[in-house]
Amino acid sequence: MTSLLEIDNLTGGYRDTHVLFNVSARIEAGSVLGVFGRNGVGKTTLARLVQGSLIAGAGDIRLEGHSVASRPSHARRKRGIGYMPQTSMVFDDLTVRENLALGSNREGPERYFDRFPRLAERLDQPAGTMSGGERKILAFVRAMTEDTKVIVLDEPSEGVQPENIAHMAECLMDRAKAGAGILLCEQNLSFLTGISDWYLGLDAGTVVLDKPANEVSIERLRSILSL
Amino acid sequence: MVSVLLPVSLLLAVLLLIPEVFGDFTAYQIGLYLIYGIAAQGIGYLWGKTGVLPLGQALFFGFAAYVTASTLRAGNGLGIDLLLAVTVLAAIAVFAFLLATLIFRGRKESGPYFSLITLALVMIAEQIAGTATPLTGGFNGMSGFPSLGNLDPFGSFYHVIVAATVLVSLLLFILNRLPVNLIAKAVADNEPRLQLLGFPTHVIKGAAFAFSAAIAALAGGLFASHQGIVTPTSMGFGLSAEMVILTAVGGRFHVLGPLIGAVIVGWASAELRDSFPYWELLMALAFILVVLKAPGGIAELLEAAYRRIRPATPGRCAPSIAAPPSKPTDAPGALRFDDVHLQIGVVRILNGVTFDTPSTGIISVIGPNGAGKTSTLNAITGNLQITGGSIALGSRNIHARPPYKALRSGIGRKLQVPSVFFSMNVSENLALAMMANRARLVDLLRPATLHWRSESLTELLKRPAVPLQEDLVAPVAHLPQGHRQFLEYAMTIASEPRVLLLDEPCAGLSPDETALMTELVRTYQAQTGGLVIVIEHDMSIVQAISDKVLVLHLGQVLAFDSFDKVRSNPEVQAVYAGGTK
Repeated sequence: MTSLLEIDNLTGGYRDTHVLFNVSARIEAGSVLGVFGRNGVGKTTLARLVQGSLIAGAGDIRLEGHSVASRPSHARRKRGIGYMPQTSMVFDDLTVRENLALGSNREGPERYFDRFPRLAERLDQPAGTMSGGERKILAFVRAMTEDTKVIVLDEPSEGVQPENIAHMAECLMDRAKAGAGILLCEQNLSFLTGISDWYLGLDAGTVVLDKPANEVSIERLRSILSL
Repeated sequence: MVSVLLPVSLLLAVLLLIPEVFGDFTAYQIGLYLIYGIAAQGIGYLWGKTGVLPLGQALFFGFAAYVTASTLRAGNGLGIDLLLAVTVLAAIAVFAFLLATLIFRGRKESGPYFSLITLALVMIAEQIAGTATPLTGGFNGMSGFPSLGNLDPFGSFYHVIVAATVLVSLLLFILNRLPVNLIAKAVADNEPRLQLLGFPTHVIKGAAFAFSAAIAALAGGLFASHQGIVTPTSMGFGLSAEMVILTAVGGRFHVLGPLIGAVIVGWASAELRDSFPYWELLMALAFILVVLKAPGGIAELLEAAYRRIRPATPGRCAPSIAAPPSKPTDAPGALRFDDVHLQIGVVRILNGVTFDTPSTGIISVIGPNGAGKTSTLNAITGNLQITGGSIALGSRNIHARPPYKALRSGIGRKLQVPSVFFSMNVSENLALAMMANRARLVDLLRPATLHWRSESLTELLKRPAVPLQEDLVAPVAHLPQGHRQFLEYAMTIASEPRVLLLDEPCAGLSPDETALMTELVRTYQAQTGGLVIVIEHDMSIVQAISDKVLVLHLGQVLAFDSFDKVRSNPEVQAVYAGGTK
């Protein structure tokens, strides 16, 4: 049976330097794939290969059975792959409202204002004048409101206060319940373990763990982060 | 030294062969292209290194050409002519330095302003040259003056041009090997980081512009002597734009790129002009093609072809040299915020922040997103100017100081998102950090400075868990975020600041790396006895390292006390629960 997103033997990196080797994974509709590993193991590279800002040297990426591996990032976005990068994620000179209005949105951002009230208070403020954590939340909410089938998030919790990380987890669960597939690259274990259905552990660009969440202990996750 | 002498010797040999092989008239034509090429080399240095694009270099080219024409017409003799030439070059350099320094002062980035101002200046100059007839000869220009030293423009003057070309190229090749080159590149790469390392970037850009202006003026002087006529077009926007095109086509990142661009474009134009009616269209298409397909110009294509024949050997790190001690900074002391307000437009970020730290210890700053934590650090380093109140370190007010003076006050800063020099490798990043608050002007002209390494930095890199030793020649752009965190931390402590500001140093780190970073911070504070201020969300880290905790909320101080007292404070609990990874 075809999964929502299929990653087959993906190899790639930066120009001639490959960072990721033969990585395979599946994301079903309504599920969260938690990708984790130490710094430098290839989490961001995997996220960018799926999103399209890096093109794979080998292997395939299929969305609903259609290969997107050679498509540019804007074409993948049209097909339904959303992305929240680790850094440089908002337009500093645009207001919060304008940032949220960009793109083709499935819904308005208002439903997220209960969880993130600071955004509602700062709708007319330029995003560049907000703190790093607030900008991260803004980028997260924008990713949530976009009309996408798969959402790729690269360390969304970095620089965000713990209460807001919990709200992020609730939002991701909501999107998953609505049928989206989530690819979450994270090192924050409490965030990752709270919402992941499946774990993909990476080390030195290769898969060292690929199992359902209920079959993996927290000690096993910690041991991979300490490799 | 081979990398300098070999290309310069080859250049000299090729240029000396031209009159022998192709005759004097071709040498005369090539001489003119080389003159434009020299001016373009100055643009290449400024644009390729610092990222500042000058659109009015003909201002200096034309001014020097007019002065040369006047001097040669006066017939003062070679000695006085040369003395005047040196004086004019120096005057132009000083003018350019002052102009650029004033424009760039207080700006965080280069932006388009400077380019537009140079464009306006050259247009004004062209207008003046065309109308000030008694001085410049008006639109007909100045002519009828002899060549420098009465040398034949179709003969021996070619060798003067060759000498100038080789000397300018030699100088640029030598500069490429010196620390000043790395600093110039750092301006284009990450100006705010360079400022936090204590470098006044407006002065660096001013110096680079002065250097490029002096080179343009040298070319202008040669032009007048070579052509025997100077008109307002020698001082106009058209020529300025042409020089930029020559630089882009030839390659602004390579010393010889602009020369190659000037000769190829000049030769192709001359050949096509009489034989192909649409030659300008063809040249324009060629220009668009080169810029699109090879942003580094023809030099980049040639280098890529050369590298296919002889691949580059993997970089190696030269042995390090013990760095001199850091320069003394202002006397250490407590950090005092007194009713500090900070407002950007209508947005109030800090609303009367008041606190007084001890002069030693670790202070953690916590609070909800948007509480004003990073803005507090920005106010300390001068990245944001406060709109009310005062900030003092010891007995000195520091709130009006620009960011590049923070390190002189003994304040080092690591930013929230790792801020490093992405176009460079790890070694080059560390070299820049080692120069911070250590290097004198003379040190910036010594290649050995690039290999400075302090004892504390060597110790840090030796630790097996610090993920930098094996990455020393790796491009920083390819490093994962966590490694960049360690790199920026290493760069920040390299200058051994007495006050260390760390903005979420553990963000994006694994639990093991977080433990390592925490230990590094504690050790640094214990060794220096200074003050460390850390913004952190992870309460286990806050508990482990803090002597005191400052809680901010809505731009105000909610609490400033020990960890236990802050944690049991009901007001703090109401707005910020905290958590752990």
